[in-house]
Parts: sequence; C-alpha cells; structure tokens
Amino acid sequence: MEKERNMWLINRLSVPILLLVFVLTYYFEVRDIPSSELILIQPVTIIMIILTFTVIFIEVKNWRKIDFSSGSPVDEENPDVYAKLTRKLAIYITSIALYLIMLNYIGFIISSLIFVPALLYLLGTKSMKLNMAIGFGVTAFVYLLFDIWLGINLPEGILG
Amino acid sequence: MIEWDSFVNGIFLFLEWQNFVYIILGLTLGVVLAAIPGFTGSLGIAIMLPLTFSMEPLSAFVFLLSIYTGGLYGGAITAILINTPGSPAAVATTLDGYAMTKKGYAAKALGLSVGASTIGGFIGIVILILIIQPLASFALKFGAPEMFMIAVFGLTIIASIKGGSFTKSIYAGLFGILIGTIGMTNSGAMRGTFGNVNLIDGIPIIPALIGLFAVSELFFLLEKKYIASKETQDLSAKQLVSGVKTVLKYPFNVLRSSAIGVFIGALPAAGSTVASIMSYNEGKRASKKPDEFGKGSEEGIIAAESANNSSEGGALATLLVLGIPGSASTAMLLGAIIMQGWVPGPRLFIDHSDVLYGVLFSELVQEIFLLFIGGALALLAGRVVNVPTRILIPVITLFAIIGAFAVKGSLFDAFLVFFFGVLGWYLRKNDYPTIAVVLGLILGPIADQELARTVQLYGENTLLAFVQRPISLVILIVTIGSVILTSFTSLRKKI
Repeated sequence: MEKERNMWLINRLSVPILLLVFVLTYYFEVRDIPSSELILIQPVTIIMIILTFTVIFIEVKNWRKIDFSSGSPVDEENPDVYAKLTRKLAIYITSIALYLIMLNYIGFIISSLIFVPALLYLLGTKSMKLNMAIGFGVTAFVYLLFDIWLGINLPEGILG
Repeated sequence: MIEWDSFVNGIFLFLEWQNFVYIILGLTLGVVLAAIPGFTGSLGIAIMLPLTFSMEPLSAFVFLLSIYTGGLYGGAITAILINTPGSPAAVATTLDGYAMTKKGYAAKALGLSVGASTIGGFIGIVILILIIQPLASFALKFGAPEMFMIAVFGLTIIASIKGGSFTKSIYAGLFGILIGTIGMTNSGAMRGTFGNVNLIDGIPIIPALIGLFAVSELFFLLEKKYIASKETQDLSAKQLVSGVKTVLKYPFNVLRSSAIGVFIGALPAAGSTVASIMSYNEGKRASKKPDEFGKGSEEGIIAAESANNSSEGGALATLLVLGIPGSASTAMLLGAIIMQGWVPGPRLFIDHSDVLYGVLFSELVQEIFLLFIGGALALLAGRVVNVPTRILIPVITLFAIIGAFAVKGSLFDAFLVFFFGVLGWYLRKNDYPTIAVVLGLILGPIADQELARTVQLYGENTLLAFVQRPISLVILIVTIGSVILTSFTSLRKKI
C-alpha cells in the first residue's frame, strides 16, 4: 500500500518536473536570439515555471488526502489512477518502436506484413490464418490507396 | 446585394445532370479522405485539380468544392468513433463525439454531426450569397492585433476544459503554446529545434494530433475488449436520423455557431479549426447545461460541426471577392481559378457572376446531398466500434503511422506520432487534458506570429494598438468578460 502511494506521487511529480526540464532547456536554447523573437515565449516560460511549483504543491496536497487502503485505483476515469507499464502496454510500445525502425530499413510492405499479424497475435488473436489475412489485406489496402492511387511513395527501406 | 438576373442564370447553368454526378463523386471522395487520419479534403482537391483542367469552369468548381464540403465533414466520423480527428477541424468534435460513442450513442453522435454540418454549411452559404461583398471587405480590416486577440480568445477555452483541474489545463495549454513556437521564425531565427532540421517548420500538427488523440487512446483501449459495450451500442439508421432531428432542437446554437463559422472562415489563416474551437467555447458558455460539455453533450457536437462546415462560406467570400486564400484548400481552389484562365481578385465576381452564382447555388445542393452521402458513409464506418480492440488496435496503428508519414513523406513525422502517443497517454494518466496541449499547439503559433507582427508595426505603442483599434478592443473586452464569467461560474460551483 505504501508502495502504491509512493508510486502515485512519483508519477504525479514526474510530469511537472519533466516539463520544467523541457521549459528550461528550451529557454536556454533560445536565449541568444533577438528578444523580438521571444515576445510570447518569455511570459509563457515564466508562467510555466510558476505553475510547475503550483502543480507540485497541489499534487503533494492531494497525495496526503488520497486513501489507498482499498488497493490501487484502476479506472481510467478515476483521477487517482497512475501510469503503470502493463505487459500489454509494454508489448504495444515495443512493437510500434520496432515497426518504425523496420520501416526505415526494410520498407513498408515487409515491415507491415510482419507488424500487423505479430501484434494481432500478441494482443490475443490466436488464429494465425486470420492474422495473416488481416495483415495482408490491410497492407495491400494501404499500399494501393497511398502508393498506387495517391502517388505517395511509401518507405522502401534499403531493400529498395 | 444579390444580382438576381445573374443568380437565376447561374442556377440554369448549374442544372445539368453531370454536375449532380460531380457532387456525388466529390462529396464521397472528400468524406472518405478526411475520415482517414493524416488526410484532409485539401489532399483530395490536390489530387483532382489536374483532372478539372479540361472541364467546364462551373463543373470544375462544383467538383472541387464538393470535395471541400465533404472534407470539412469527414473528419468528424473518426473523431466520434475512435477519438481521432480525421482533420484538425474536427478536434472539438472529439470532446463530446467520442464520449457519446463510449456511452453507446455512436450513431446518434454521427447523426448530430452530419445534421449540424449540413445545416451549418447551408446557413454559411446563404450568408455568403447575401453578404459576400461587405463580409469580405470587413474581414480585410482584421490586422495583426485583431488576429492575435482572436487566437487569445480561442485559447480561453482551455480554462474550461473538462478532464483535468483548472491549473493543469492551463499548464498543459502553455506547454502546447511553447512547443507550437518551435521552428524557424520569419526572420530566420531558430527556436527549440536543437539542431534537428526536421523541426525547422515547427512541430507538424497532423502527427501531433494523431499521436495525442488516436495513439494515446489506443493505449487505453488495450485494457478493453471493445470501444464501448457491444450490447449498448445502437448503430441503427433510426438512431442516426434521431441525431439529425435533434439538431433542430437547438436552432440558436446552430445559428450562433454558423455565424461564428462564416465570420472566422472569412479571416485569412484562421479557418475551420479555429472556427470550431471558438464556436465550441461559445456553445459551452451559452448552454444551460455547460457541465455536460466534454461528457457527451449534443450541443457540443452541434456547435463544433456547424461552425467548421459554415466556415466554408466565409472562406469562399475572401477567396472569390478578394482573391485571398485562407487555407490550403482555398489556395488550391485559387489555383483552379487561375487554371481556368480567370484572374482572381475583386473583378472576378463582376466578370463571371453567372458562373459563380451557379457555383454558390451548387453549394446549397451539395449540403443537402451531404446529409445523405455523409450519413450513409458514417453509418458504414460506424461498424468499426463493434470490432474487438485486439483487431482494431494494430490496424488503426498502421493507418495512424502511415497517415502521418504520407503528409510530407517523412519518417520523422511517423516517429512523432509515437512520441506524442506516449506523451498523450502519460499526460492523460496524470490528469492533464491533451486537448489543452492541442489547442495551444494550434493557436499558439498564430498568437506568436501575430504578436510579433503587431510589435513590428506598432513598436512601443503595441499595448495601445490593442485598445485603440475598435475591433481589437471589442474582442479584448469579450475575452476578458468570458474569462471572468468562466472563473465566476466555477468558483460559484465550488462554493
């Protein structure tokens, strides 16, 4: 229970801290350009820094109030829920990352013919025939629509 | 104001069977393309533009404008069904449209959207026909200070977004504004690109939209078997028709939203996205049930959809009277005008009034056809909610990634979809509304650019410019008034 409480707080504080890092990095990157180009950026940066501490204060205040005695909240609509990396989520995120890398190297057709059936299988569609049929159908449809009809060249990868 | 002889001649010019075929083809193409994330109606116009070279001018414009009309509506279909605005103009529609789908009212939401789009679009064209010339001239009085105030006014919606606390909404909105300023400025200065050449043009809006809305939603759907409970989902034509009929219960909402749409549409560079956001904002302020906005409000869908379709009327006013294109779509329509050997500008309506009145009349016919074609296509697409998420997720992911890639043929944009997907999921899990980031991302660059222009024009007197120019002052007063009203209302609820 204590672990859940702490995880909740870490999650909640990670957003303002990450955004603060981004805001400061951004500001340091642009600080040398003429001030006329920073007319909107300067006030937005200042307000964001102030709000970062405000949000941290609010989160800590909420953390003290929240009762975790009935276990971790699970409903997405529930504001008390925090971001957990579940097995399905990890599979999904990894699959997309791999697909994007594959697109660059082996092109759209082969990548998609691997990605769609594999992800279908990993998400619970166990019939390989169905997975292959959907994978082939969607890949063919996207290829015909984008590449053939609209003339948008899809990634070909190093295989050309 | 209407030249009746030309108007009647125009109607007779239009009444040929081929033009009706062009309307059906154009609307279908526009709706289908805009429903695919990453695509917009402007892509359809771009593809079909060369085909119109050999057509009669009237038929060419009827065909291209049908694609435009269909494109303005099509984005709502995926916004409602899978929380993915097919085009930026449907961003506000996701707020209540998807909420209705999750409650089992997908068909009714689709009916509301097609009904509101049709009626809004119809009103927009009627207004266009009646006041085309004064409207276009008035729109030209909007300089940099006024455009800045319009963007700020649009941003005030962030304060009243459901799904996060007031502070977090503002925080997320400011983050959106900040990332909206990334890229090369007009004077060539680099901001926030960190040496990445792909960011010179700024954060592309389409991959950000697809990531923040569609992919982040897929993360949530991983834990569900269906988008909504299969038993409660009523996808009958009867429900769709009831949605269309419901629009008629809110005549003031439709009229107000359409007027906002026409007016914002007439402003160069504002367009249908800003129109729908502002109209949604005003719809909420004027509603007797503002608490329902964001939770599946019928009024919310009506406000957003009637405004984005009626913006076509305003956009055509500045295009046809002044020869100024306010968006990618109208820029391509301008190309079509030039391709026909016509000279854009104030003389266009004088030299070709018969044909142009015929085109405007065809717009009225298009809106009526949209009700049936848009409704039928929406109902067909509606079946998607009955597909298990384990099948839907891989297929939508593929479309999302390739749709983002297709905009510029850039793999970087496909990576951005992934980045914004993870970001959107993480923000939502921590109670930050992603719509606030999107609003900041859309309106932030407009505010930034117009503020810079105002400073260039007025120097030390910039602040005075906002209060000395009457239109700017009016928008400023309305903006302050609406912020006070929103704050007062939320404070009263807490008490």
